[in-house]
Amino acid sequence: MPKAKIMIIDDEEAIIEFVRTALKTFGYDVIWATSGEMAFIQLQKEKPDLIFLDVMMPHMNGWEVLELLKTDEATQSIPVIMLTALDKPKDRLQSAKEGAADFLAKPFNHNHMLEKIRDVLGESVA
Amino acid sequence: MPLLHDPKITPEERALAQAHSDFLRLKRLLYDNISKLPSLPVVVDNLKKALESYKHIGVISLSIQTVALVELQYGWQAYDNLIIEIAQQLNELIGNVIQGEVVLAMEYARSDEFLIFCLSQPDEKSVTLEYMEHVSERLFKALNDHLGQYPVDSIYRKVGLNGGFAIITNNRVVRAERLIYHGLNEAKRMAALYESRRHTKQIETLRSIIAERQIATTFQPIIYMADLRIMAYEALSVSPKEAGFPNTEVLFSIAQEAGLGLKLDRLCRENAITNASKMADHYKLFVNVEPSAIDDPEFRQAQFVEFMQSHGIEPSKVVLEITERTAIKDYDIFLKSLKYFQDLGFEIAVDDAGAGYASLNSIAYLRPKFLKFDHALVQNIHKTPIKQQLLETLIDFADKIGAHVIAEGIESIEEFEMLREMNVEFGQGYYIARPDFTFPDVREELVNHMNGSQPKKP
Repeated sequence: MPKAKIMIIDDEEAIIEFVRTALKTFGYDVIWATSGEMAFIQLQKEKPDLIFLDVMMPHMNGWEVLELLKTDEATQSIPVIMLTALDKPKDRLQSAKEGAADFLAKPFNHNHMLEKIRDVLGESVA
Repeated sequence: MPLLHDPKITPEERALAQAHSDFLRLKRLLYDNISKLPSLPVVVDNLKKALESYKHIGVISLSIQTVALVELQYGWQAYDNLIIEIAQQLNELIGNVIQGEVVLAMEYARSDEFLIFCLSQPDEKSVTLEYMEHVSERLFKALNDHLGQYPVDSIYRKVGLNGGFAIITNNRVVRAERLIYHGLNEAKRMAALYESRRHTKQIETLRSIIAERQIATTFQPIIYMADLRIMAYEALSVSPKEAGFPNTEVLFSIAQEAGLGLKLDRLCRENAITNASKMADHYKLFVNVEPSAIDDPEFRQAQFVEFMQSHGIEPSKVVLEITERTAIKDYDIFLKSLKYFQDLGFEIAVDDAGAGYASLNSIAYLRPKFLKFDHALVQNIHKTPIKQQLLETLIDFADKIGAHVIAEGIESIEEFEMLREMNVEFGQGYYIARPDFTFPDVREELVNHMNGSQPKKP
């Protein structure tokens, strides 16, 4: 069975690079965007199975991107995992409130990320 | 990192993406993404057309009447579900109860005001006042019957539906949009009038309940999750069914508004004590206390303790359960009053902890022996990772301040199992036992389930 396609939206290229290499190693197909606007361009063509979305981004922040993703019929069913800078209860609550599937606090490692993917997609990581 | 540059995009693509995000922003403002219904501005054109062809259209405004800040208590998630449920029911009722042409909308995106526009009667006849009266009556009855099927302590039973209707008549010299908005206001005025009449009647009923001491006490067990042993019973007051109050919270919020809160609180407490004298000795008794009652002089006088002792109940057996739902005005005074009770040997439980009204810090100052977490957190916890994480944090917090954790509102085996796995010490809820006038045991279904699951692999 082909592995899932995962999208990462983050303005920090280092994070994208990390996620990309890590997930590729585990056989995932990875696409990325460095801003919310770029993400919407990508999403015209691609349909990922899961999106990692950074909260702190310039211009359009993660919460706004999340709201718009949930407004668009084409994307509203894609699970979104929010990437938050700190493990703040406020961010957890807002993640749930705006319809995110889960959240992941930075800094995170491979295991954290794979665990979240498994939880959200309900697949095995091995 | 050359690989990381965003893919080449043409100016056209960029413009398209910009237009798309703008469209989504507008859509978000015009469609309610909870009920999946359009807001009023979206359907106005349809209504205009109907007004022109039928001359009259009808509108029913339906709002969720919340008492005691239901959303605050149960959380936005439960409230969202309530709105989804009502929207679904409305969709089902159309065609069933209302047979003519109907348009459903929300007043605004993410509001809790539903609008039901009846464009025509069956056979494409114009709507009449009689028809609207008939339709709205059936609609409200069907919705109330539906919500009435849920357990008493669920959010579905804590809300009332309030509504009114009006006929909008086409008029060539007035703009159709304004006719529609005026019609809607008329429907709301009708709803408000009806509501205020009902409210006055409720206060009258409440006064007579207090005067005639028509409050009964039911008891619900709080058990050890590990082995189902009963640790305590919570006393829950109920008003007579004929009085028509859906539950005790409604009763209390009306009493609070009418300045009868303390009187009702005293009555409930005394009844709880009187009835609990029949309870076996080794159980604790949880009694609900409004924060304002902690300062109630009559409650603080020695005579209350004497009253308890005359019924064979020592303070050390009693846990005062405090809800921070109603804001505590002066924390210092409150703490002092509370200390008075703690010195007498009463233990303190904080209800709805973590629901967001009180900071965890201020809860710590109350030095509670128990922290209770309810519906908002417990409902569907087995399928909600975020709730699990939140509960974990709260369990850690309880550990730090030396409090025991009680999960309330457990309604399913899945919730029960999940909470047990998370090492929640105590549990309470319909799945364990419903409240009853006698002291109910743990439901057989759960006992059997536990016996069945015991011989699992070591």
